[in-house]
Amino acid sequence: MIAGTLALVARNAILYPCIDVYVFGSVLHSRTPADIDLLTVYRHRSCLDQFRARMSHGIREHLLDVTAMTPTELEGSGFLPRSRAKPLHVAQSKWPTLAPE
Amino acid sequence: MSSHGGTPREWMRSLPNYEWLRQTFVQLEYVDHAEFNGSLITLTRRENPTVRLGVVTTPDVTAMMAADLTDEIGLFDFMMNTPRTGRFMGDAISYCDERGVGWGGVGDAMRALRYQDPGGYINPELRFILRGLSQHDRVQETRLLDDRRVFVERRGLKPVVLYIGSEYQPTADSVRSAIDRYGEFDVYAATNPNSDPTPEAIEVGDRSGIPVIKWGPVLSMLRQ
Repeated sequence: MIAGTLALVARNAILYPCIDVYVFGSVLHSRTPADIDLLTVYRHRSCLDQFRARMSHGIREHLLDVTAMTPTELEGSGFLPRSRAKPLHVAQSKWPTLAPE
Repeated sequence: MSSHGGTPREWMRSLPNYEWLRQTFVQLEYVDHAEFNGSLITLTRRENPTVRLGVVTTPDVTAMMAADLTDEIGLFDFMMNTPRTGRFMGDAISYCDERGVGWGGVGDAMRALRYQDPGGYINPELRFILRGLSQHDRVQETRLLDDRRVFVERRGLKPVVLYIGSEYQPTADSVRSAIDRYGEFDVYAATNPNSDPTPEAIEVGDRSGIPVIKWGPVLSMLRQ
């Protein structure tokens, strides 16, 4: 379920070059995470809104806890080192899809 | 008529058979078996009594929906709303509290299942905030307007409405989303002790006349 959800997020994210998606929290460390913490870095609000709207269709959104910030916020907050967030593809490599979900 | 465009009963009956919910619950080490029957999930636990979980999928849970759910499935221990962005309104919270029913989203339900009695569950962040307010010398009474906003009656001072922003990192987007989704409140309380609101988050609040401040300063502010 986690692998499938990450794959769905990745499929959507690739459509939005104005968005960078990172993953942090238990999904990087636990085999039974309760949810998936996503960091979405957006350059324009409209882009974030479109990405969100797209994700709300067909994604198991109860699993996703999304933090959204601009590149400026990201830089100033020190969020990446603090949260140890990893790019989405790195998280995906920890959750290989072994079988169709 | 409710906000989703149909009656609550119609809404609940339109619940799909969520395979992902079954997977979510059966993966828990303390759950032995999950049985789905319409809006009812019966969870057999390894060490604790069986739990009856009432399920709704709606943007805003109201007391009427909770009452309809009771009519449909009988008594239940926990009321779960599946959308992450779903919200429990104050009257629904009162309905549940008066009947010893726990309430919350999927994550709350998963945590509540660790309790011997999930009916006694309250979201830990909310419990922390309510406890802090109950011990405050200026606070006379608190009332939940919904699952994020607390109406705080103060001794000798004007009441205030706090928004509980418990996200990992309060950002401009989280403040903007709170204002869009929850409407009126006086203060955005950033309750996560490990992160400061970003300057952009504070700026968004300022533009709406809403201070975005951490929990400690909120407690001080309640004296002013």
